[in-house]
Amino acid sequence: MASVKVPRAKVNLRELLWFSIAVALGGALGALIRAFVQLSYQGQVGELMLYASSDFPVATVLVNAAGCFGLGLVTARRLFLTTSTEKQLSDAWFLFFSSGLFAALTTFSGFSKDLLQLLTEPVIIAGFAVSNQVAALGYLLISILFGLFMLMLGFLLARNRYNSAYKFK
Amino acid sequence: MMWLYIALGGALGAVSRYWLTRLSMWRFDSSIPATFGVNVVGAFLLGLVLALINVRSQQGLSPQAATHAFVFFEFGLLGGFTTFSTFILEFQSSLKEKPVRAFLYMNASVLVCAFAIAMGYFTVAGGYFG
Repeated sequence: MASVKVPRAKVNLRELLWFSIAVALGGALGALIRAFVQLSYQGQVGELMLYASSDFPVATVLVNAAGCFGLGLVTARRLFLTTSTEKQLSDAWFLFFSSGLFAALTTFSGFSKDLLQLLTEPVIIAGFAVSNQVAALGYLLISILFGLFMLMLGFLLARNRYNSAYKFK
Repeated sequence: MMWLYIALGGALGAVSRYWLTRLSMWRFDSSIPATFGVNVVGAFLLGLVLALINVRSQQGLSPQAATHAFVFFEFGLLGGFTTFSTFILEFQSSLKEKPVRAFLYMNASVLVCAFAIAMGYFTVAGGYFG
C-alpha cells in the first residue's frame, strides 16, 4: 500500500482553522461513539476502572478494528481521487474522518491499559481461567492482526469501488 | 452532562494530536514521531489520571465526580489524543519498504506504552498498589 500523508497545506491560518474545526468535530463524534460502545458493552462506568474488571476486553478490540476499517476506506478513497480540485475539496472531509473520527474512535491508551490489566489480573474466558501472560499475548496479537486485516479490507473495498485497476506496490 | 464532557475532551485531544502531526510532518516529513510520542504521553497520562481517581476516591471523592473525571479523560481527552488506527496504517505502509523499522516501531510502541502507563500509575499510587 502506498503511504498516504496528511494533507500538507501552506501555513494558511484560515485553512488551519477550518481543518482544526473539522478534526475537532470528528474527534468529538469518535469519542462519543467509543464511549457509547464501551459503556453499553461493559455496563456501569465504575466497572471500567483500572484493576477492577477481569473480563477479556472485547469492546476495545471491536472499536479499534472498526476504526482501522474506516481509516482504510477513507485512505483508499483519497488516494484514488485524481484531479487536484477534487483533492482540495476533500481535504477537510479526509481530515474529519482520518484524523478526527476514526483516530478518536480507536485508542492506544485504552489498549495499553487493557494490556497492563491483563498482565496483572487473572482472566476468565468462556468459563476457563486463562493464564495472564497468555491472555495478554493473545490480546496483543488479536488487536494488531485484526486491526491490520480490517485496514486492508477497507482499503481493498474502496479500491474496488474507485479504481479496481490499481496494483499494490 | 457526561456526554458533553466526552465530546469536549475528544475534540480537544483530536485537535492537539492533529497539530502535533502537522508539526512532525513539517519537521521530519513523517507522521511516525508524532504518533509515537502522542501514544506514549497519552498512556502515561492515563495511568496518572486513573491512579489519581482511585486515590482520591479512597479519600472521599464523590462517585459522580470520579465517574465524570474518568469519562472525560479515558473516553474524551486521552481517547481522542491517542490513536490505534493511524498506528496500524503507519505500520502497514512502512512494512514493505522498511520491514525492520516497521516491526521496531510496533514493538517499541507496545512496550513503551505499557511501561508508560505503569509508570504513570506508580508515580501517583505507588504506595497504594498491591
